[in-house]
Amino acid sequence: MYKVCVDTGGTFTDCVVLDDQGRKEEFKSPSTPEDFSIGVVNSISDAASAFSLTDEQFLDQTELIIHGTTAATNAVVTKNVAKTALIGTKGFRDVIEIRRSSKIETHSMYEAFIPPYEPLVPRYLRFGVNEKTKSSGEITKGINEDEILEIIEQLKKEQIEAVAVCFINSFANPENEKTVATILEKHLDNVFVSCSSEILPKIGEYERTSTCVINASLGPVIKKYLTRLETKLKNQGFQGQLLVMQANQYAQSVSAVIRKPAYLVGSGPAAAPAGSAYLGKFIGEENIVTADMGGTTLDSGMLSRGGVILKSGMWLNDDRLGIKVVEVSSIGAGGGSIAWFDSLGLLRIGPKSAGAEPGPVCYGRGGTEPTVTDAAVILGYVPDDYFWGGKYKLDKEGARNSIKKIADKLGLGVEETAQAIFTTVSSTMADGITEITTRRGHDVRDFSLLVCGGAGAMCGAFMGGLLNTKNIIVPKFAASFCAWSMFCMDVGRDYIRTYFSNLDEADEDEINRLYQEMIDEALAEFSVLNVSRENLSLVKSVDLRYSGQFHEIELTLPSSDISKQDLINLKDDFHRKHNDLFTFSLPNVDIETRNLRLIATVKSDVSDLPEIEKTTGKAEAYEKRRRQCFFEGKFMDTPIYDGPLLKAGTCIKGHAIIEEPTTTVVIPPDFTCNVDQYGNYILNKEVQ
Amino acid sequence: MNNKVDPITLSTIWHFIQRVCREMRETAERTATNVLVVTLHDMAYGIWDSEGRAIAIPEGFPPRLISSAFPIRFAKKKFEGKIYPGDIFLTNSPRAGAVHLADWVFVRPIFYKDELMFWTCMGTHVADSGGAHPGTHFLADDNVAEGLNIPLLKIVEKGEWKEDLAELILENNRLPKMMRHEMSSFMGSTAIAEKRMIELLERYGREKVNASIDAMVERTESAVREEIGKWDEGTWYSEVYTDDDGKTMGAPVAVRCRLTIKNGEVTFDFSDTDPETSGNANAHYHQTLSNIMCTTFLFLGSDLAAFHNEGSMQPIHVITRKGTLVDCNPYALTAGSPAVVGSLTIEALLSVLSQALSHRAIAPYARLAAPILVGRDEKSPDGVYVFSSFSSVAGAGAVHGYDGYQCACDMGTLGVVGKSDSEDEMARFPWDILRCEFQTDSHGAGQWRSSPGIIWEAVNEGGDATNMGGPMSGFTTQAPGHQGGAPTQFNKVYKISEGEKTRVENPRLPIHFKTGDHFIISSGGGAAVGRPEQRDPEAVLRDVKNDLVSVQMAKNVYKVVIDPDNLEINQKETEFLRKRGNLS
Repeated sequence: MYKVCVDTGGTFTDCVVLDDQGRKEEFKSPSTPEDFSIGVVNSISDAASAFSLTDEQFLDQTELIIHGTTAATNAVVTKNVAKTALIGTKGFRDVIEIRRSSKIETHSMYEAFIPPYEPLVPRYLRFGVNEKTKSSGEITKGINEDEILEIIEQLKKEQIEAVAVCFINSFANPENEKTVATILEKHLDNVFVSCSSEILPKIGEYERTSTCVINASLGPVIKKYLTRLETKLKNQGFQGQLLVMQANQYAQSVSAVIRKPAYLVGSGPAAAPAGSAYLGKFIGEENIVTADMGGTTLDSGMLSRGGVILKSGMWLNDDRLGIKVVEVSSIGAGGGSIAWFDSLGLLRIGPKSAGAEPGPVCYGRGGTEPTVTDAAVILGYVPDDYFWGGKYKLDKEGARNSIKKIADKLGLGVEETAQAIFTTVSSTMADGITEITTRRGHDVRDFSLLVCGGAGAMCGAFMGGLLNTKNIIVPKFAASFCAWSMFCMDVGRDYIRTYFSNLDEADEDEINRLYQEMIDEALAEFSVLNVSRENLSLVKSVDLRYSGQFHEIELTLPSSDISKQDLINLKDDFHRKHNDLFTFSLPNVDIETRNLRLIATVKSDVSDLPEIEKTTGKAEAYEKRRRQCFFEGKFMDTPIYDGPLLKAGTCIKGHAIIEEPTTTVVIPPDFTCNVDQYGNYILNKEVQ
Repeated sequence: MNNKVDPITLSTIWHFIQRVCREMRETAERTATNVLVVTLHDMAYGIWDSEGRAIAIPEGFPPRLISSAFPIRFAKKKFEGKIYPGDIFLTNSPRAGAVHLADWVFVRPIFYKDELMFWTCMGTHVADSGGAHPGTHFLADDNVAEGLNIPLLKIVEKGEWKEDLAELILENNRLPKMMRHEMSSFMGSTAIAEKRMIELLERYGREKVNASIDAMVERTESAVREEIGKWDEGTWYSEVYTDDDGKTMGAPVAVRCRLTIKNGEVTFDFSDTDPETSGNANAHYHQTLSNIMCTTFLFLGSDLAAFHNEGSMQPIHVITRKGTLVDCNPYALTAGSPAVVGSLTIEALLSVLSQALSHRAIAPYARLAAPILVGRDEKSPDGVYVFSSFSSVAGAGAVHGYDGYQCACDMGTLGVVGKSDSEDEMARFPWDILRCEFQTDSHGAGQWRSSPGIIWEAVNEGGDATNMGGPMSGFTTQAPGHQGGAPTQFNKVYKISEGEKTRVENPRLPIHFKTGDHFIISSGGGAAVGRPEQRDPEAVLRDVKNDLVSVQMAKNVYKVVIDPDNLEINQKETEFLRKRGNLS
């Protein structure tokens, strides 16, 4: 039987197939934005052909498909979503447009010439209802059904496809929202209804409303897409399980995702940290920074003490999504990033990228501006005769000419300039990584740097050297690590309940009651997968803050029932964590609880990592050739190794290059690379 | 040009320092309890070199960004020979470089291997600063009644709090528990800056870091000169009025500015501004300088936004006359200065710069109408609450090419401040918020219109409370639009008590509320750019559909005739009206 992972990106759809023996094959086909399911089916068809099977035969022998899709992100960013209305509390219909006036969260203070924000729901489709829920949860004005029926008439007239319902203070009592949702569902056919208290039951009407609107507006789009995909696969003989990857690093059933499609937004870059958690268990690393370097962006994420770091909320341009997602820092730096001079005459790399088309100059497809990949060709790191396993011949002369334009301005030679481009992009990426490490209070020196994506292995040692990470890990399948990572994903979802209390007065019975409510919700969502309470793994946590603060720190709770002692222990943990993050603690100030959080997961059935053949022999045996590569300001005669032939136990001293069919590992001087039993490359800087 | 450091190191060091500033802001925001810091971003912070030159001017509160150099230089001079690692200085005195008594500034020297290398500071508007009234006393007769004057003093020496001084200050504050927390938060953010700057020095060494900073200052100056060199030479003039002088209601005062662009440099001459008053509206020179720099940066383009430092200021000259509203004497009253004369200074600057650079015209934001409610609250640690909110404040004025950005509020902060969630405000304070949404026909009309005004209403569910209206403005005067665009619309304030609604004639004076009283603020939108009848009729129709513009306003102001039943444009009548307008 096969397990298949299909990762739909903006440009390409990656398909990875695992067979019963743990062997892996990768396939790539163009994405089809007009209907992404076509690209998914095409990529599966490619896989079937490669295994000399018909599509039907292949799908019949496939027990699991895990699908990562950019469909939700694309829909929100391009505003290609369902026609959506918003029903809110009378007097507050502009919550999503007024927002929190947080101009500097998405723009510079010195930017004046910015177009006005266009909310996903225009004002004429936002309706105010005469209801009142107090912040205590008391409802002082219930729903008048006639008022809702009048709104429904307008919704019908406007041919609305989705409705977001978000009332002020519904986090404290969702009753009025639920009443309205029931009336809407009774009177509107085929209209997706989303309540804010269901998608994000926490205080803060802006973030809750915005998230609810995003969820509602995606509802019909995602339902149509996933239903179509499921039907196509079934029609071709697929009888296994289709799971969809979410932005919180967990996979989920199609039926559950259709109710909460907002969980798909931003799911693309979430895969690598989840994969590193799985890989880390085999190689004994539980603190890992992942750096996924593609053509245009570097996405970095974190694994700390074996757990992937999540964050509460993200911006999608000017729209805010408040759900928990894998903490990913994205910066515009990749293999296709273009070198340029800013207004102060400083060399900058990215965020503009040559992308896949026309691509870097060396691709010979019309690119004219020098990129990181062009610099790598000049430096000898990327072979002009073995790109993509020798499928493409690169135009080294074109790369040289393009870099000369930069070199002339810098007053340096072409090679020195190529090295400056390389150093600058590595430095920019290292800075990007510190956004999620150093700035979050993590000492990056305690972490390994896992580099992946097509260009990650090329820059890994340079980034790791700048950051002083413990070592650098280049996974065996670095180029398709994200797709590979999806095989390792647990099925799961996170849940939240607001619980305001002074920590000293917190009631463990009430806390346990709220957790039971969340567990019941999880079991209901997981029912399609036949999951029982015994199969669920629980991670409980609580958001705490000093009395009066506006922001919280999340601390972990035991997964069992919460006891009084657990709450007492939290106090010391909170003071310590606050001091670690912000340089001070306030032992005499009261601590408040804000939210209770639960992550409920079901372990996925992942096979072991296959080991590769071992050797005690010297690395020289695998040297396939030598060429001149530019390191530390001069060309050096550099051994080139054939990656697929290398065996476990091989130790390669830098300077050296390892050529894999889909990527190139650069080992600079002073670095040593060891091949582990799974075929991963572990790079260490020699201590001087 | 400085060539002591390679361009790659230079770039890396520069971006590192910028990141340090962001981390400072984040630390303060994540740990403070003052709404002005956390959600409103009312902060000034950054990194200065050992001489007090601005190295990194991040985003923050314009009146304080550049002016933070003044307390730093003052500390250097006052404590010469007695400055040690781990010291922190505190002041709120305008005579020591603070903006007004409500602004507390914490200054920390950064040493590396026993050498003073940098200064950092974090300043913000605090919830209480002592004085005769809670919050801020806007009707004081002298600076002592206005608040506790904290001269520049050393509050922490070699890492140890000077408890006697801290106690003295906090004994004179109505929120001592909150303020002790706030002090830890602000000082913590300066500790982050110290830690990171030492990391930078350890990685690159003193020489490279200093050389990089010198090079950045030089490069920034030359880039700013190059940009200003593209501007047409000439002289432009502006005059803007505010409702009153901070004491005598109904007596408007004016800020006047003459801009001269010549030889790649600009000079702003404010000498003709009205004399300082006995009211709270006055601004010190350092505040005016800071506002001038930040406003000018808006016109230099977003390319340079991330780079501003001491070099940016070299081609920009400022002339003021001592004893005026924009350069007041040491003991003048300043409680309302950032919101009132600060905003007015920015309006005057926008006016002259928009005349000189018509394709970059920026119209003023709505004038400020926001609650500062003070009352007793037994649930809060100090028994008193100060509820400041920007929720009622309307958005940005239009710019050439775009309608005003929605609710990037308050001219005096250049839109840096944000709003809180009403739910959070209701959970914290004994006020139930009943509405907060856009109003029809409340914007400044123009080819590019402003963001709309807002209607905000809340009911008092606690005991007696008072609104301290000091920063309010825009009730009897308006900020001008550009190129034929309408000015800001008037703000209005109402109170409902025992079922009776009355309009508050002087919202700048304290307004008292009993349990059950309603407070209503109706804010007008910002100003516009271009004549309303030049607005695209389809854009007018969209606004009518969205209930931001009435059918009457569409016809009377925009000269677009729309059928109210089917919401379609009557092309013929619209053409007729617009043609007639052109002829007249």
